[in-house]
Amino acid sequence: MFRKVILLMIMLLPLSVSSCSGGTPAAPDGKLKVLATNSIVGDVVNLVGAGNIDLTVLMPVGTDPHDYQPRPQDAAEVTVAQIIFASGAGLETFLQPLLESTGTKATLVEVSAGITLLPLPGSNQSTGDPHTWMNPNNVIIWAENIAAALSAADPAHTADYQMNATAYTTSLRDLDAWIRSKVAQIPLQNRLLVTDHAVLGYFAEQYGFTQEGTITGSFSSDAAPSAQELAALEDKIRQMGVKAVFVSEAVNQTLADQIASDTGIKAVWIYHATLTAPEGPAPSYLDFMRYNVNAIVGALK
Amino acid sequence: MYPHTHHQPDQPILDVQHLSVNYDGRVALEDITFHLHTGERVAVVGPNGAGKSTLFKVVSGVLPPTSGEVKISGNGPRGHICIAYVPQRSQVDWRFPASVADVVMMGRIGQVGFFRWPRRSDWDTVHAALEAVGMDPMENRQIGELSGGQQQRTFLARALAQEAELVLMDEPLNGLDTPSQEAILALLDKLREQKITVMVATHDLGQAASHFDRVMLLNHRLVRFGVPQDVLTSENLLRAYGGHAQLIKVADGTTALADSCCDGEDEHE
Amino acid sequence: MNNLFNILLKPFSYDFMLRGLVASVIVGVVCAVVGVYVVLRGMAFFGDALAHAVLPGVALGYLIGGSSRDTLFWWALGAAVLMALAVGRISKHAQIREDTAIGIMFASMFALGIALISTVRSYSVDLSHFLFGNVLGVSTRDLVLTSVFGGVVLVTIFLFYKEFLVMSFDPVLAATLRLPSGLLNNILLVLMALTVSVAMQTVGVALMVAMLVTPAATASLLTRRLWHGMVVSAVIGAFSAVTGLYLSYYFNIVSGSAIVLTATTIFLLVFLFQPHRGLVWKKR
Repeated sequence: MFRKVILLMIMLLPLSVSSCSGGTPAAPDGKLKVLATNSIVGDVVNLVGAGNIDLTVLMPVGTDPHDYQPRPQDAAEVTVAQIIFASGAGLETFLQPLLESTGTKATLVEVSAGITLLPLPGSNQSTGDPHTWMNPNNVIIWAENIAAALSAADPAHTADYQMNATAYTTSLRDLDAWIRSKVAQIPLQNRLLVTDHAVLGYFAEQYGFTQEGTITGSFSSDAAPSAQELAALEDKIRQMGVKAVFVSEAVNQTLADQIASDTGIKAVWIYHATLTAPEGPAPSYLDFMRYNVNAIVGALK
Repeated sequence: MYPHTHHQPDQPILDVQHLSVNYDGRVALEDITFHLHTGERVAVVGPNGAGKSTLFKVVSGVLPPTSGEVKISGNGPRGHICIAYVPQRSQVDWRFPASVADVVMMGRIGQVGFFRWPRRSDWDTVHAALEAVGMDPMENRQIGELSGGQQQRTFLARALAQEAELVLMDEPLNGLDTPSQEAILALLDKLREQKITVMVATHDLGQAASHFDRVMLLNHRLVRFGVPQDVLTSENLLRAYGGHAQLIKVADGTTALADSCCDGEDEHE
Repeated sequence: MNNLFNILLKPFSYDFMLRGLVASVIVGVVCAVVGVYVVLRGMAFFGDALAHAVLPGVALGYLIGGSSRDTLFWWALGAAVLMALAVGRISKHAQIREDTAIGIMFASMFALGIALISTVRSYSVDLSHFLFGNVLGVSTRDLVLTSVFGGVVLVTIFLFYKEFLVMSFDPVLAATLRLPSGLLNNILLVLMALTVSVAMQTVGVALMVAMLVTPAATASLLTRRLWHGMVVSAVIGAFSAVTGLYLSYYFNIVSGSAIVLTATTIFLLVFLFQPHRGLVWKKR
């Protein structure tokens, strides 16, 4: 009897757990059906496309794109989309197989196209650093790419797209200026970045920081460091006088916490590949960068 | 720790009343009634699958009866730890990392009790038991290194160390050469000296006739229980063994019976 | 000589190495001692299943209590104990064979865990680190938990040594001696669950069964009495932990794997070269 109950429960569990949330296809009202991979791309696409597109974002807020596993609903979204905007540069490794398996007719647009990729620090990877959005000037290129793609698919609204992109570019330039002024508060010798994985390359290059090291020694969040790598990192932190280690949603924070407490520095949270919910501190890209810069400046001043 | 149920003085050491055991829908034992006196030496014979091991397991309290009663010195078996079951050698894991002394000491852990360690007196008992069976020079050998006869004697020593008053031996003479068998049978004399009651399951009807006080002929039912010449008649044997036969010499002449002996008798887990 | 001294001491000038060392030695010893029973009673599959069955507990813990390592530890422990007792119960009603019962529980618990995790969609690495081990991120608090529960396991095994011995060797003797076999068996299962929960942080799910089985298997080749086996197994477990950490430091290998590979190498050496019985001698 007991045994039968267990078996029955085991068989029913998958049914009870499967969630049926997810985007429902919008009413066909002539708007371009657009899919963005993550919330950051989505934010920029939304600002350029505004009322003329029907936008869905694939990865919910808080997800790490590095090891994202697509679900059946995602395949459905991919199939009905007309344009798919991805960050590109090797960030969304799950995307190509998904496109192939669904055989979708959507156009794929990598918004980082045209940006010269920085090499990954200390590795002999052939791919470059995918975190292009850490420099707002790159996002200007994003906006241009998005406007071009939307215009090609929907020429009627070309003027709207161009106008939105131009307006956003102005905001981005303002952001850039603001960042420079904030960063100026950090003395030169403190401009040392230690992160959980190689996230801040473009930020460092643009605003005069050095990426001293990462916990995972990798551009991706999947790796686990060896004792030698951790020891080397701690040595560097001590030698160079690094003041904080920056962690994000990607990598297990316990390792960073231990390193921070062992070396006497702070573990500071930044957002790396996702925005937050509307009531959180980083609901838009501009807020995202402001939050991060404040965190960085606050820690290193 | 274990309430060692007090032995009632005038009761037979073992009293079985209308015992029946069913499992898996099969009848293993049916309406068995008998009793044993202290110090008796009884042989239990019968064909394979007759229920000899089952009987021993119910008597020792390992298996519950389906109906009927088992009393050890007036009380049910559950309260006693003075019943030793000596297993068939084929059922033992000889590769287990234990020495002869380890195995014998295992019999004593009922007396040692929870959360305590064997004392000097426990070790003395163990050594005495080993000496009694002649295994003391080999007490540090791993049990897999022993011969069949030595293995059997080790388990007998365990029963002694357990201070058992009733010892049930499941086919101890199987696969032993004649000298080893004789050695085991000689040890049974020692047990008798200590007033230990012994039941031995065996296939050897000749030995049953010559070395035991009484013989129980079993085939799911109790065919006959009594002195060998009353039990081991051709009529009884045919009733018990059915078509099997083995050659033995009994009082009224030679009777031929053959028996498919030995491996994997009662397979109760 | 001074140089050798330096080589041995240098890694431990880092606090995280020191904590990692203590944690992995404790885990190595506890797994090795419990592993003696695992090997003896043929429970390696069960041990592996137990490690995987922890996943839904951890997932639930993450959903309900957040991602602190403490929470995850307790949830993992709860799931492990539940699974251990459930398997014990199911295999008693033995119309299903024990390894089939284990297989069913194993797969379904693991699948349940993955299903739960997929509803969260942002679980990622907190859980994966818990499952793959993170010995270098051991905090002092983790160490306390590890020591306490590791100690509980070792003390319990010590206290019930002779009863577990009898139960493993001769269950019929256990019954004739009126040992509470059902209860004792459940205690052993719970000890295994405790061991699995404690060891997860060091070597993670995938490598756990190696720590349970390998030192004990090596010891079984070298010893002929149970408690000798436990001592030798514990020494091998501790040694593997220490050596594994040194290897991780000097050769840049992930620590959990280094520990397991050391234990396996020791096993192979013993298997091949043990006096009289080693494979190498037999071939001649």
